[in-house]
Amino acid sequence: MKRNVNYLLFISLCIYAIYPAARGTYQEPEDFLNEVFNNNIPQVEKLWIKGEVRDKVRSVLDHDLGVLRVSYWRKENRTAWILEEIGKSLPITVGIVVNDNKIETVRILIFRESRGWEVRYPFFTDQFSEATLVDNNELENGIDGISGATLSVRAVTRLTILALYFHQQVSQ
Amino acid sequence: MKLNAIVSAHKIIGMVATIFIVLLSVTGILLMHTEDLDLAESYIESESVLAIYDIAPDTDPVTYQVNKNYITQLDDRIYFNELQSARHEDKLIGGIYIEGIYLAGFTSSIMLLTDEGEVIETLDQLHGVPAKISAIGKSNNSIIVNADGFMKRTDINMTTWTDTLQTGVSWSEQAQLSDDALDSILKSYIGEGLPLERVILDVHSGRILGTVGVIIVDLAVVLFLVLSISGWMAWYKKRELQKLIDEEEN
Repeated sequence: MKRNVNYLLFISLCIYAIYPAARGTYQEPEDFLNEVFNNNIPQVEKLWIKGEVRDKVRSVLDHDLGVLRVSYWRKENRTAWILEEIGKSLPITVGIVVNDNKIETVRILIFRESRGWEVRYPFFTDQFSEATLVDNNELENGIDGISGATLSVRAVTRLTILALYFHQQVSQ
Repeated sequence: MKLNAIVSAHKIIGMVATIFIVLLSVTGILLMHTEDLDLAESYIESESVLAIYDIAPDTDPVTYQVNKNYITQLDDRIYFNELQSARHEDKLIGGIYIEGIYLAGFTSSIMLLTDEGEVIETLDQLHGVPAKISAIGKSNNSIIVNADGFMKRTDINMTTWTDTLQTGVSWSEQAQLSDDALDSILKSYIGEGLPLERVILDVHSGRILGTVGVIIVDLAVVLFLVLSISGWMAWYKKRELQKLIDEEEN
């Protein structure tokens, strides 16, 4: 009996210790860009969110982006985007690299929610590799969800769709 | 167990249980008539009750007047006059108006707003904005910040920042929001608010005190059970005693 109680106490402490660690900055956006562009970050460029682009953002997110202008970094056919979307109640900051209309990298940079942090792991983000955009705001390849992290999965997926769409816009 | 002991225990438990019986009965009756009493549509305004639900703001509002408009921070919410423009974690340190754009300065970022309070973009270290900003001001059409004790100058594009001198800078200073505007912001912060029904339901279930409250209500229910049992036991013992008395008298 005493052993079981100690075991439960140990598990509880582990869970308690994991939860705060799950929130936070996994990678500074600047470090992400340095990694993506081999420590040679190109000049920042801007995409205005207006007209058709604004309508598309609304249809993907079901709401406005909350800003009228988005920064991005471009080198040849690659663009890097640092976007935010609320999972349940707080924004998740995601770094996305698009190469020639295909997703190259999706990385969770800052996670502020208390649940759904499993989206940070490569087993989830790697699913987006080589993903392309098809009609109706969908990714060509389906993305498997994570039990208990539905809203975070949805937020990251929507941002990935947006990054692909933004890439198309700035590549035209 | 002797009759006297049962009756004494019954009395004490009864007195303690009365508090909970009154509380649960009153809240129970109110909840039964939620629609008649319009409880779901009545909202709590008491700051102390809102604080229990973590709805009231944790910090005092900080306001800067910028070109006849006001930029206010309340916790992580940024208001342009009385309209919530954005949520931002950095601390607001000032605001300026330059070339038709409002700039809200934060400790490590600068937020650009339209004259309607829409956020154009928030620029931070990634965009070259200096860290540890303690003040923002302007000199002609230049943006000046005090970053970690060093004066830095840039233009509205904020692509390059250069060292500068402090002379001739009009620094942004804190302002006082009118009571009406402050009330409006607080109402916006709270949103629709906290329905009275929710509070009564939480008092009824004990959840208003969190887990401790739920345990207290659980214990109260156990008291009711003990009260019922002790009542029956007292009645039964009394009846047995009465039978013995009747037999002895016959």
